[in-house]
Amino acid sequence: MWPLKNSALLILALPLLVSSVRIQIDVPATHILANPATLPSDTKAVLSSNGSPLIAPISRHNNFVFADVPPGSHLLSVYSRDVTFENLRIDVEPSGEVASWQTYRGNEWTNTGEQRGGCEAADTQANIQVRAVAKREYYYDRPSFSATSILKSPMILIAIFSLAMVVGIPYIMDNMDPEMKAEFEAMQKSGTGATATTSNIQNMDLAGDFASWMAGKKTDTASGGDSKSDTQQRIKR
Amino acid sequence: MRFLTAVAALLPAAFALFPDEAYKLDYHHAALGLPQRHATFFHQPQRDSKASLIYTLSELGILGAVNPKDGSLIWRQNLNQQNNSTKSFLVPSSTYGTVVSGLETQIAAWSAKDGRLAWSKEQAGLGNVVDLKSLEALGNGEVGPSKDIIATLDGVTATVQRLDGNTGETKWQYTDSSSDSPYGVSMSRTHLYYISLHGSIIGSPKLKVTTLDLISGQRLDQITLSVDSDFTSVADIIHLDAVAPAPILVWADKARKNLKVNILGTKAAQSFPISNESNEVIENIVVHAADKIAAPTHFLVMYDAEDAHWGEVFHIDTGKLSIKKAYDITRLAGKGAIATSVADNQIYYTRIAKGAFIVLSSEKPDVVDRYVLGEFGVKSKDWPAPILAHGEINQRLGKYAARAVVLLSSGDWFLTLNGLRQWTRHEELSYITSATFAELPRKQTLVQQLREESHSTIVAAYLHRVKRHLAALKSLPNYIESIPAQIQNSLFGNGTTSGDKTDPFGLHQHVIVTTAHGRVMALDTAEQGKIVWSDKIAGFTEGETPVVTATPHGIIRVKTNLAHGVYDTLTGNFLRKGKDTVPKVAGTTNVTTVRVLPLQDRVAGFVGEPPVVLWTFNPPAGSTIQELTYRPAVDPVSNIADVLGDRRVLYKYLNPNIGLVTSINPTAQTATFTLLDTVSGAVLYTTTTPAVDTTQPIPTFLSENWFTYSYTLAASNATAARGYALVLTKLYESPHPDNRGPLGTAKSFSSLHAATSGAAHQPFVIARTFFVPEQISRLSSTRTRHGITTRLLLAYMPNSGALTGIPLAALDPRRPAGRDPSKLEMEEGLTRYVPNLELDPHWTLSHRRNVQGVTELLTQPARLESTSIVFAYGYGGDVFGVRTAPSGIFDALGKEFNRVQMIGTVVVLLVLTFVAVPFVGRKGNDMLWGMGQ
Repeated sequence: MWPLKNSALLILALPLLVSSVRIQIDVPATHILANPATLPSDTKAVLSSNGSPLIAPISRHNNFVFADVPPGSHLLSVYSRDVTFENLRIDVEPSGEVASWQTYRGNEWTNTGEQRGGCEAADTQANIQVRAVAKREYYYDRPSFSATSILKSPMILIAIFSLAMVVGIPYIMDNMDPEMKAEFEAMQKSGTGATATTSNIQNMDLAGDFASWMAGKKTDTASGGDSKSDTQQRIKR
Repeated sequence: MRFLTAVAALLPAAFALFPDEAYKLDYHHAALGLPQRHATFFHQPQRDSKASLIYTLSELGILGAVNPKDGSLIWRQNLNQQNNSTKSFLVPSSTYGTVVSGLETQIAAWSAKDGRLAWSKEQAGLGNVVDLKSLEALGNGEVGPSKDIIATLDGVTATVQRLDGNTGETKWQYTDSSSDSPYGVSMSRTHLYYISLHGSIIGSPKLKVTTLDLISGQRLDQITLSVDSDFTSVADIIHLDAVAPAPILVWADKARKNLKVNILGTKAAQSFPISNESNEVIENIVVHAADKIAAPTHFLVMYDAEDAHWGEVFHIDTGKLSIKKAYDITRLAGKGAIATSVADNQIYYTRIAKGAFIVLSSEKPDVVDRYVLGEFGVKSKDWPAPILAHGEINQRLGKYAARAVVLLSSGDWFLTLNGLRQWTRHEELSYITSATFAELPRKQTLVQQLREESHSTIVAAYLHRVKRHLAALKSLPNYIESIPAQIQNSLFGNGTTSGDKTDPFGLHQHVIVTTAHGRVMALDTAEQGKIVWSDKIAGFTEGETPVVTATPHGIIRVKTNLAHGVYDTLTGNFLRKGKDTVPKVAGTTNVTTVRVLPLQDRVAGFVGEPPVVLWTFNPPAGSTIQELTYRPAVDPVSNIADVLGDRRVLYKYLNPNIGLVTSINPTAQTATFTLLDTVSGAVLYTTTTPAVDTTQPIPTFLSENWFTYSYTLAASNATAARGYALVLTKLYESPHPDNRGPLGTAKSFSSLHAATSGAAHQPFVIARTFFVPEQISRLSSTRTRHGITTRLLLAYMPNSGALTGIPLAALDPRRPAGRDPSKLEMEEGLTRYVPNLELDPHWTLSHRRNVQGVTELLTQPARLESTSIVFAYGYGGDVFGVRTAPSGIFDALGKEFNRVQMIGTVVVLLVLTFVAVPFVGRKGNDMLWGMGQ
């Protein structure tokens, strides 16, 4: 791996640069870049054609000045931390005439967009505008903990619903008028209706030891007896 | 598999940087370079601002403003110094809120507050800037309101210019038509003195002092001072006052016995014998003057010998124009530095030497204030000496607050306030010549110990075990002691950088770097690139380029032209002198090693000792070879095939010995990329790209079964698109799924016996070109331990100073072109090919930082499969390091995991359970009784 030095080529290219013009590139305030004065000082404009590009740092007056631009068709790119800028095509004629257009990456060089300023051959300086096209965002927001996001989760919604049912149904039962209640109980006995709350508790996933422990049957579990059958026996009694 | 794909789709973007991780997982040393004595100062950015900043124009040609509070860089501009030997200058111009730099043919004013350009003046015809002064130093002494700049240039005829401080326009220009070599200018209240050396071959050399009118630039007078015949160049001038009521010019005789001082405007130099009691060889003489028009006319001369330094203070009587010695500065051992500051019309010298921080007054020899100089804040094996200091002093109620920025011989620049170190900038990191990741020596693990026990006799194993337990018992108190801290860290810290040396995640990797000034340093990647140790390279001579290589088992080797040292990676201890081994191995076969040497016009493979040419590769006619890259030495591949949407596979072409040759043809503006089998020399694939700007960088990278390169499109064709292209090429064993081509079911292959194994068949190659918005100057890829994690293609873009990680999937050459992807392709994750590749700013690993001058990218896997460690550096550029997880951190808990919340939830649930026990019990009871009725 040994990069070649290309300086020799550059020196050869230098005498070809006969006449050159001064180009000033302004950054107007737009809705994307409200205040160009906030651009950091490492914002720079790069004017490239063949060979080493010309580089201009941003000035106090929110512009970039290229004092000596040789004739040719140049690609202007502006690099900044905060915003993305459009690319421009800047043509410098040997006569000193300058013209500029928007250009689109990946498109033919002849496919140009809006004009962005320039100057006549007699003018001392060409004024060109380059616009910011997008803000640059580097970070993702970390999904933060919030109560509403938890409540929105379907799992939690199901849990809340079933909790409401477990708590609410006995009350509904209690408040039913006696006829309905009797009818309901009859349905339960025939086995077609909703299962009884007791067996519901007993058949819950948490059932078994935990449920009976909750019900205060420490001795039963400790003695190793099957608490479920024990309860059922008692029910029969 | 389908399920996994679905899960993968649900995950957030593969690589994501969160604001709370930025600046914590990554670190950046923004390069300034070593500060220069005459171009560094404390200065208030604006007239009315209270705090001052440190401005410096370094010997690398980088101009920067440093915050004296924490050493951070407020702004910087790289002035693109072309020639290292030219001098550069920096002066303040606070009337216009600028600092003015002079480098080579360019003079530019920069906003002192934010570093934006105020004006710039390029004078190629007038030569390089050899001196730059600000008339502001005259204070109110100058007649008229302007605060201009005086520049001296060394063209065919030397020129002195007065430039408008606001616009940079030339107000007047004095041309020295003689062929004298210019040195610079000095100012008194009324006059400008221009100093040049008249050196003719026949006659003896003479110093010329030309007096100019400050307002008009008219020549008023010229005085010739005779000097010794051994005075050869203006570099022999020791000192010229920038501004003084009676400015002086100082030089010495070659033997350094006498000091010659000329008060400018007088016709003769006064000679003073240099006090040198022990007759040491004086290496260096430095004159410290106030450079303020209103300060007392005193100056201090310091003498540096090899292992001592001392000085003399002189007073000038401006009325009589006479100079007398006032007192001696005590001799101290070692090197020392002096910072001159002016406060309350008094000159104070802050002397910094080993262990001493002394404030002296120019008036009398008594010590004004004395502090013990604490540590330098550098973990260095040698004893770096202070060599340069710049300071400020404040006097309040008879108490002095002296602060000074001191440059050590180790390249560390630190600020000390009354002897206490405030911060350190490791400027030596801008001069890295080579760097490598180095494996740390591991302690004998429990597994190894158990294995040892199982392989010995019962008694021996038992004794070993008892010993092991006793050893473990010793660390028990420490362990118990560390529990609270560990709990606290795991609850409230970020959990990964605990700083303990056990380092289960393998994040504490050391990067060993060598620098152009002959230092070797180790940086800890997990602790913000902190310097773990630093040492001088034994046997280093100036001008050499040391190279570091790492070997496993915690040893590194540092080689220079003559020396070869072996160091311990963990401690930096010098172990022994190394022996040179055979050169780098490019490819290996079972029988012997083939060494590949890239030459200018060909690549050749050699075998045996003495080397016999096995094969040669010649680039196309008219082309020269620019680069030869190989697959990384450690390049694990977890999956030997790419899985298609219908569960069939495309086998990857995995040949460990491939090399990619880049050759360029500047006249035809083409670049040819050739893939070679470096064992047999067979050409596996070649492609020639037209319209390449061959003067611009063409980075390449080769890994696994793919390679990539990037280039700048040449502006030769009037219609073709312009910009920058990135090409990704993938190699498969055959174009057909579930088919290995001629390899069939072969378990192994040989590059040499192609006929029998069929391995030298051409791989199936598929490539895609993308237009990228910026020039890429360096390409690399993340690496993980087993190669399971997806990869990011690392691309360094010099124009925006960004290091970007492009997901390889975005560059997949199998993306369908000209049509929408089929259902199977969609399942595989392939999207329709579009030539424009937008580089999402979220991919930027360096996020808001501007990383300048990177020339090399190093990557290293952590012990966590998800994580890759990246280190970027360049000579004259920055150091940037980051830890990245291309597929997200799937094997460790991230920051978003809230341990406090989790424990809280469990505790609340437990409490609720206990609270609920009596209620549930009563309810069950009631229910049973109710049922029984």
